[in-house]
Amino acid sequence: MYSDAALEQLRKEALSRFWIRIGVVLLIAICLVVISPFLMIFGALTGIVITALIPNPSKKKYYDAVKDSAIRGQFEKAFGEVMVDYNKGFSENFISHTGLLQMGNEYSSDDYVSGVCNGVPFSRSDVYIASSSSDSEGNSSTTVFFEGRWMVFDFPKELSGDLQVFEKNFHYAKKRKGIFTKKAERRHEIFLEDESFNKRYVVMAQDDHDAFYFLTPHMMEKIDRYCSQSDGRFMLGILGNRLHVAINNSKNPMEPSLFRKNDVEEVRAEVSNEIELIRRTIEEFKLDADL
Amino acid sequence: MNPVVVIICVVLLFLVGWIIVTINSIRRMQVKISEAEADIDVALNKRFDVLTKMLDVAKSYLGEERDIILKSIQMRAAMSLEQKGATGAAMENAQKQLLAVGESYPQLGSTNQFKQLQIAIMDTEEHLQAARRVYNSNISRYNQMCVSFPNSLVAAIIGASRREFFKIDDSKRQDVDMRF
Repeated sequence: MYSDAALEQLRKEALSRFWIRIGVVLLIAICLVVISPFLMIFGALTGIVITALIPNPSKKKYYDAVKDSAIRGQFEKAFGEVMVDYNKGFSENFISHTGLLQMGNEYSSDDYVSGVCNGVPFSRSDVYIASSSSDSEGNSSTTVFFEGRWMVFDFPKELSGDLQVFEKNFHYAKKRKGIFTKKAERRHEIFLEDESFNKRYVVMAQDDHDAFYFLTPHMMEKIDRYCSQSDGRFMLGILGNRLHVAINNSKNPMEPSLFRKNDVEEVRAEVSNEIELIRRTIEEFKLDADL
Repeated sequence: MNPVVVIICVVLLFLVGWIIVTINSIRRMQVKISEAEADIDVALNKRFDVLTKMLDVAKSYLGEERDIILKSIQMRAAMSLEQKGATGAAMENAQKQLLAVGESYPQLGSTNQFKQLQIAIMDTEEHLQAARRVYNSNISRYNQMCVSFPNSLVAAIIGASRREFFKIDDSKRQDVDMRF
């Protein structure tokens, strides 16, 4: 575990290496400008590509140190033994198989943490899903489908089919309905007796009874409260005996930055929020209730 | 061909198509209502089974009262919605009585079998509530279809009329909470 002073030292080292690289690129560019302005542009572009592609070991060391200090340490303190992998997350296949989200052609996931909270196994990861395309004129555009946290909890009961609840402004949620979806996987929209809930959320289920069984008036209130306290657009899915909670907040919260001093404090605060959110999810949805 | 005839044919085709779609929607809703009613029967039967088991476990503490309770919660064939409601209420009372017996006799209440049956009865209660809500939700959509114009015209032609809701005690509706 690193002290705050040691982390700051590592940040300074990584930052100075970063500036040295930038300096070298600029120096090459200035030298080349004497020969030809074209070569300067070529040299600068080459330098930028080299800077981006060649890993900066100091930067990685600093990131790992911050994450070890802020993420692993805090999660272990909160939940005891946890499994942490900063460079890995949920596989694309795993997320795709849930059928909860549209999948683009870009996928990444990192900051995987799994453990047990109040007897409930959980795992979480930051997920990024986007679709990139370019037109005939070479203009490229990227549409981000999802960027935020994805949490998976063991659910104490198994429903007979899939159940999905999401906010109406949660764009790119996959509804798995219509004739192009396999009949066994097809969901249909459910309208509950609470009109205000119907206005704010979309409920998709394979079986009406499951939806009404889980979404009692009390549970609807809880979802509404949980959603109001979330920092992004919310989606919930019950698939088999797993509860999936996805919060699309356009953030990768546990990433440190070289340019911010005392950034570790911010990362720690984000991790505290994550821990609190895991606890709150288990509490709100009564996942720890003993049968 | 005369354009007026073409227009009349198109309008008639559209009308016939709309009538068929509406009739199918009403029939589909009627099937869903029947399914939801069958779901209530399943939940009531399940609750009856669990209560019977509980009565057997508590029979030495209940004496003759056991038979009286058992008779009151008996399911009969082809019960009306009202009768199902009454049976559900009787089961509710029986459940309260049994839980009170469990509290009065700690040696009974602390047995594993009694505890498991208590959990099972809560589970069946949750399923029954869900079945009732599914039924009422379907009834609500069906009634809206039957009374809203112009669907009401088609509903009247095929003899589809408003149906009664399964009454849920308001205080009960407030108390329902998922217990896992």
